Amino acid sequence: MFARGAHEMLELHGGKCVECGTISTPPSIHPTCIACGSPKLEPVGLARAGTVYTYVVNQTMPAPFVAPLPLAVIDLDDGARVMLQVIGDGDDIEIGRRVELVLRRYAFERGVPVYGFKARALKAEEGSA
Amino acid sequence: MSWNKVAVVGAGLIKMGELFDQSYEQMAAGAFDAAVASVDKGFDRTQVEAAFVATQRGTLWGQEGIGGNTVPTAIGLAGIPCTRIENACPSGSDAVRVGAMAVASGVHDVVLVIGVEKMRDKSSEEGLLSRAAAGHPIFTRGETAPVLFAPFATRHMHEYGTTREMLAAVAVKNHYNGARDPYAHFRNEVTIDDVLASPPVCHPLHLLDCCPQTDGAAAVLLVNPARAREFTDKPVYVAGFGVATDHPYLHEKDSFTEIKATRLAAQRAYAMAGVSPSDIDCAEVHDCFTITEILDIEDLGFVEKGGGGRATADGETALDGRIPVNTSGGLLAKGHPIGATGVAQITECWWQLRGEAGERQVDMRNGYALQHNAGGRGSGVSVVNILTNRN
Repeated sequence: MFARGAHEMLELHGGKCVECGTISTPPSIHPTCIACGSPKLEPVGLARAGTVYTYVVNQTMPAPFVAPLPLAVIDLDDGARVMLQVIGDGDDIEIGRRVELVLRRYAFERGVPVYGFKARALKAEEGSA
Repeated sequence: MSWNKVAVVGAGLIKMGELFDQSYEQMAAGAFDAAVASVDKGFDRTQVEAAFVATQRGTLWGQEGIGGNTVPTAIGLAGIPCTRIENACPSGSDAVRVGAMAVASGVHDVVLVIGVEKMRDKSSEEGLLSRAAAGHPIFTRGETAPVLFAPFATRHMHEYGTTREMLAAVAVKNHYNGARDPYAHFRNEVTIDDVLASPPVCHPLHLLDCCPQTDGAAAVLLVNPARAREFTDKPVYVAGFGVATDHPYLHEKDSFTEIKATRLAAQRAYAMAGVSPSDIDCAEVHDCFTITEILDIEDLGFVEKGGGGRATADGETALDGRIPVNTSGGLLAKGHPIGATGVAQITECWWQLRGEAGERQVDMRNGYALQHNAGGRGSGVSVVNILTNRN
């Protein structure tokens, strides 16, 4: 259901816990904090760069998906954690690799293109935070 | 002192596989008949007071409209109270737990728990697509089943030096056991080289790191222990159980080297049963992928965190090892008909505890067997059941 999540994904929002500071994302599926359960969350924009914590390269995908499809769990520079598709065939992805988030098309839903952020691996010289 | 407020007096399953020639109803009837036939002193099917049915895929995969009423009619018991349990991959384990609570509460003396799943009636492509496009539109886009576990393999390899050969050792062991289980989907042995050379599915997992898609059904009969001797002189008891949940999305995980829900469920089950991991003689655990079994044996406390790959490669979990794991062949070889999986694992534990596991029989010196499933989005549901032959 793209319609419900489109706005918060385009603006890349999280909910920062007033009690413990943890960022839960995206807000639409997190009425409460994932760390302490508090309902007191304030909307924040997420960092647009981070570091790969772990990843996979999915090589078995039905159409309209295209394999290989790398997916990475990324620790953003503000402490939030996201899991996103990675641009490319996965050859340049590894644990610890710096990435930036860029807006890309995810799919067509009922003929309408749907956009969201994907990760792009940075080269070593681009990687300093 | 173990809980032991429920006795298991019958258990059985049908041969797992691609059962295109059998309907959901026929598979259910086959499993029920097998459980009834296993009762030592005979069992009149009309003694079943209530049933719990585990079926997970349901409407996703062509089993539209499976409620509580499909199985009673299929087994000739229309009219009995029957409830369908859906709780991801542990659906079968959780149905056993719920059935046990129904007996222990005193509401029913004789309860049937049955797991039934048709996995192969829909094509692999349809199944993959239904998973890859499900869930959150961005965060889970492309998340087929291997994506739920492969990130744990990547991280476990990074932190603990676990190798693809160690992962492969899980598949080799479980296929060895499956080759000795007449109910297993795959009854062939494989080698480390076979696993390493099998096609990539989701890096770092290859085809033989993954369980197959399997049709199957299994059933157990739970009774009030005060009446167990009416049915058998060798009852098995539910010693304890534990269930736990964790966040459903992978990006919400604290750790990618443990399944937190399994660790919590195990703590609860051990406390209820009054035992520790060293008291367990054998275990049926959730090996949907090779890495999953490595995480399981660590999270269940059989080996230290990070040591699961090495322990498996060293044979500690083999039939003749220190703690035999997945003597039935596990999900990797026996198959993973989701709703039936946990009930089939209970059946293997029941055979082991009664000394009826044939060439797979292991030394049950302490008299405890453990059964475990984990699954759902983010492996956020885990169930552990502990059985014993001691009372």
